[in-house]
Amino acid sequence: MDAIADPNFKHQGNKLNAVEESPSLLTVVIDITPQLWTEFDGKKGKKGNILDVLKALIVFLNAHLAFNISNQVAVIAAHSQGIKYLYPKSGSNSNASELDDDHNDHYETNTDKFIISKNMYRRFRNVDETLVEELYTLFKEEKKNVGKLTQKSTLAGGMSAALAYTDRVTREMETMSLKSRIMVITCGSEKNNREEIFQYIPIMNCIFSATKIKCPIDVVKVGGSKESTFLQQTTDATNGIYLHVTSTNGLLQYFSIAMFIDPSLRQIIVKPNKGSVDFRTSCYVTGRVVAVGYICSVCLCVLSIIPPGNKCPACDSEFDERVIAKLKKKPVVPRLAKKKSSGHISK
Amino acid sequence: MSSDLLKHSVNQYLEELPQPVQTRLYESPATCLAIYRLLPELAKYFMMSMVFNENFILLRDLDRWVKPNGKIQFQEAIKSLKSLHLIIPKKNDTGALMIGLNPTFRESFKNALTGGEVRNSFGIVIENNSISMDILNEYSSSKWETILHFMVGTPIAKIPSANVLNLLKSSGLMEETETTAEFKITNEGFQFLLQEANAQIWTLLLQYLKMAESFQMDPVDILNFIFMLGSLEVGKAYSTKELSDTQKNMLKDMRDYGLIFQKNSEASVFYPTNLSIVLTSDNKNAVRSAAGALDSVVQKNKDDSGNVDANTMLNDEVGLQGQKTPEGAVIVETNFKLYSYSNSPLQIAILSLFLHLKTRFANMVTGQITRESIRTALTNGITAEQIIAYLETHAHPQMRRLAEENLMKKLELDPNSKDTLQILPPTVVDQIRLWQLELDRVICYDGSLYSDFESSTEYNLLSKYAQDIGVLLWRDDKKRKFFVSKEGNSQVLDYAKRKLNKK
Amino acid sequence: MAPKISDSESDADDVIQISNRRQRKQVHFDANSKEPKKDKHVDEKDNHDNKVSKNKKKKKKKPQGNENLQGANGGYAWEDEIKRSWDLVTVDEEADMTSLVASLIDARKKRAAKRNVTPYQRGIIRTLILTLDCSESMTEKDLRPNRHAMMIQYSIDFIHEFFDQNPISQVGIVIMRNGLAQLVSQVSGNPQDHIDVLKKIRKQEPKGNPSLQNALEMARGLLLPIPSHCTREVLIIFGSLSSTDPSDIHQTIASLVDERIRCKVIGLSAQVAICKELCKQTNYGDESFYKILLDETHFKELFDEAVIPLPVNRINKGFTLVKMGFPTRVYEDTPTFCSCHSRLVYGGYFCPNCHNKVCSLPTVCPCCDLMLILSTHLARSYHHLMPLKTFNEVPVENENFPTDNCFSCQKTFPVLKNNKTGKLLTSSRYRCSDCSQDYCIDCDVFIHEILHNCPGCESKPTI
Repeated sequence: MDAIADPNFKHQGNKLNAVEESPSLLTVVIDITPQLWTEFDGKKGKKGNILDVLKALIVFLNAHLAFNISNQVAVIAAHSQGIKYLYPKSGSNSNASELDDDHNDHYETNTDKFIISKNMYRRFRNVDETLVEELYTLFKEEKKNVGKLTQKSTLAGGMSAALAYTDRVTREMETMSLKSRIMVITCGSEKNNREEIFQYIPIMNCIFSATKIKCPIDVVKVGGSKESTFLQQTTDATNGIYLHVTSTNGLLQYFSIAMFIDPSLRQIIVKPNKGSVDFRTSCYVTGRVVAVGYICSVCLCVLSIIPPGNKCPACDSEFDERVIAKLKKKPVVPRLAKKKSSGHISK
Repeated sequence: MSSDLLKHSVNQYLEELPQPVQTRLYESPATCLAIYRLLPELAKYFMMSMVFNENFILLRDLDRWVKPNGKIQFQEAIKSLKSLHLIIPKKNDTGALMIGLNPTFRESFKNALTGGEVRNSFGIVIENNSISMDILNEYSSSKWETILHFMVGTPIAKIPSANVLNLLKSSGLMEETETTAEFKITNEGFQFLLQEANAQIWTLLLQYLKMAESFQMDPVDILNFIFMLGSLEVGKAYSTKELSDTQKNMLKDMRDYGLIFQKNSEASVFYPTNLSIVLTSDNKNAVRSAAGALDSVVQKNKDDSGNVDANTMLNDEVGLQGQKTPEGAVIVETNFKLYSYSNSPLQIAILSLFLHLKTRFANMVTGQITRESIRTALTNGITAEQIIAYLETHAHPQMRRLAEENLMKKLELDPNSKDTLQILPPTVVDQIRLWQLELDRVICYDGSLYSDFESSTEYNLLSKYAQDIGVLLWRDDKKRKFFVSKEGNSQVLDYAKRKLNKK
Repeated sequence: MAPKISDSESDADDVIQISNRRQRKQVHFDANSKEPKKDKHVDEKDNHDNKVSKNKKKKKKKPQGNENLQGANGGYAWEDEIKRSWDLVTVDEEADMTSLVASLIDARKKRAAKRNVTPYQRGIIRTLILTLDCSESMTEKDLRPNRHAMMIQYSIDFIHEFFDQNPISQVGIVIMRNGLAQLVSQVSGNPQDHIDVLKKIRKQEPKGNPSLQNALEMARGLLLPIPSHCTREVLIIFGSLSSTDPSDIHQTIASLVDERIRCKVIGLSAQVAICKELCKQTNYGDESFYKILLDETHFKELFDEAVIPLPVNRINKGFTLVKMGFPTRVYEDTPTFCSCHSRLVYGGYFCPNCHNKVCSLPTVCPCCDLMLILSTHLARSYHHLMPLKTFNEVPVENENFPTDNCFSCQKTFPVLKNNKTGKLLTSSRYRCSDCSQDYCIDCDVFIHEILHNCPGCESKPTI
């Protein structure tokens, strides 16, 4: 009996292994702060880099929609004054969750989207038209905002919104076991580092929620320095892909290879990034990179030196003097008599 | 699972087409898009990485992209790409195998993605001529369900058109009894009923294609039209102007299946229904909602009479949209009891094929899976696998979620665990299989026996390869013999030639 | 359907019940705001709290805590009419339960979203001894499949959650069985070890009597060497109604107070006086650390509460600096041994102090005793220190709202109008007071439970 039963049951195992294709949601967060891109344009000596990126992005979105009939996309722009949903259209009353087939005709009238071929596949066209249209209005608004004050990038806000959107769509599509991923496109600038500090906690929070809802975050960084500590940590922690490109030429090829790995394929495809990730932090006081540091037990800020006045510079709590004294003691005490105390310190 | 089956059968048909026909097929962007969607996931990924790259790539490089645990998928992907002639192999100077994309396909697919020259292959929309979704749904489901009801033999059933009957007969789903000239369902027919709607439609369409060839209709035209239907938008009117004559002829037949709606046969526009969208989709929800469209129409009518506001309001409040339990959701308990939330006579008729029905309530039926009920099904030619697949695909989302949670927990505790998703209670699944085994004591496989090896290394090499690519059916290490399935034979032979000639 | 209440009892409590139900019924038909609904839930909670002892088992209690056992009607709580879960269900004329379900779901979401948000200084670096009752009483089947199995299952979840939220903390596990306390898992920061141990215990049959004193003494012993900047906590899951102790447990409690060890007890059956005293004494007079579970979901909630770090008490402040190492990750082509498990692994982390390889973080370097963590682990605790402000429900004054879509997920806000009057029932909008963006209830929950970022505030270009 066993011998007969065997192939039949084995058969079943194989069949179940073949992963059922599940649709996936791609949420793109793109940083379109004009300042960054003009800076990048200036450095490259070529205008309109952002347009190259956007063109590539549109084709990439189409490719994602082509991958599976129930695949979904959303695009969020982080601009200088806030964030804006480019697709699904914000303020439109059509329920985005039904974007499958019943897209109403209310953006049928605009004349600005002549770029998008009329005869394109409907689903591509619906997405692309909305996207172009929304971008157009956004750029017009941005023109007015040129002189306005900006202190930090709005990327983290975009990522937070992307996560909330992902959460919502997965909840609504529960029956289809929808997978999701987020792709962040940003432009690097040299003086980014100062800005990034304000982003640290929100980005970290995004990482944790992304791991919790099992949503990989991919990052494409155009120009700037090769490293981007926080975004690299993001991709590392969420099983995403970090890609740094120096120019926008051939971006589409990068997109269609490195960024096209569907969540369901992640288990079997070798990820293109394997560099080391910098996990060190910087000291709160000196800004130096720390390998061994002191941590305030109250606010968890990292210090490379014992702060003067035995007070935490971040939260003002006073430290226990005895402990500080112990920490200050140099551990260079090889003689027998003092060995005991040095052993105590490291505890 | 049945979507795999569907893909398999459609792909098989496409693969069997002669290469010139395939090439002509690839000239239409819509067809390319549809074929692309039918490919295995990994193949889709490879395709995408090659579409915008004109150069040939080393096959070895592709292989390197895939982790060792994905080799089976890799083989499968390359195999399907090759048989559709989507990739063209070439040797480079050093003799390494390079592959490139079929240029016709690349061009059309690129056009589909970028919206370049698509030449109306996605249909021509006639604006301001839309139609209410309800009419479409009602129309398509009534047409489709008529066919199914007729097959099941529901007494109330209307008789479908002669074309459809002809098709059913020639596809072997039903046969005409000689004495009474009545139609009787065959074993294949029973199997057909258990499939998902999209698989059913495709079964019929493939049969249609086969028949069409005998009428001298061009398969490329037909396929293009079918794939185009799959990419249209429901509720929009499309012009018939640009259609070829063959395609215009097809309109009538498609109308009979409920795939499209026309106000009258002379109308210059047609409306695709949600059944046609299902053609290129393996989306469970779409498929099921199409199948249960009739019920949802009924539901809607009820809502209309009642207060719609209150209903939508509540749904909104809880955030229930999109979570509506799909029609006919089935719950199977470990004690072999089955509950199905459905009141469609069709669903119930299908369940009764393998179920001992007990009670019927306003919105659900209950029944018991018994040895007798399963045996009846088995003697009708329905296999255990089909029953299980049916139950699995129709399982209540709650069951699926539970199974997923359990699996997740297991994987968390033991990341190496080989367990797979078990949506149905394993006792039930195993028992159904055992009941089938009671009937088949002997299983036949077509294939080839490898024997008389010179050395054990040779034997090991080949048998291991055969096992790795998953075609090994039986082996006996002592006698140095092994048996390989028919499909895998050529691969093993190739490998043997390559390996053994070298030495 | 009118609420079913027996005529014989006409005391105050029941009057409240009735009026509450009437109010709630109104909500669905012609109420103007959600206020009454909320009241109802508060009431319900209070009732539960008062009647904790009205637990499923009507076992005899120790006489000490009598005044607390009184129900609202002056008699013993267990003399009240039993409220069955189905009594709560009111069905309206069309036998449509959706409205009821909807309101319940909404209320649950709301409760979940309204967590405590006052920023406290919290003891982030925690040491917790999980003490599990494995005595005979755990074989009771009032929790499915039995108390023991459920406790172990939830404990495993708890360990996961605990280390997820408190990555730089440590846990030890002690079980009470056969009158003895048994250390089953050493104090360590590796969740996998604990989970393996718990899985082993799952197969063990509960046996004998529990001894609270032995367990507490053992926990005290384990917590003694813990430095003062860590919190010392004991979480006890107690299923029995008695404890078999070798000597005076009050002395043990007193010494726990001296050592500033804080105890939290989750009771599975009835309230036990000694547990209450233990919690009260060790938590500076706060009685809320002793909770009795109402049902399975409540059990889970109680476990979840223990995941959140305790506010640092003024009295036991031990602010200090802790020395920690941030190791770098390395990739290797050939596997080498790690010093923590002596296993061959590819790559790992090098301790910046002694360059010794460990395979997972956070951990304490086995060579030089330096605490090794990733900076991301630190960041994981930040939201405890800087909780996000709660969003306020936007009042329904006029029907003009600035936006129709949720700021973060673009969902269109539902328009919930009363059928008869046409008035808006609720705005369904929850507004962040800092950035004045409106969110839907689902996003509100997601943002406060998981994300801990306000998307609106983060997308403001200025600080």
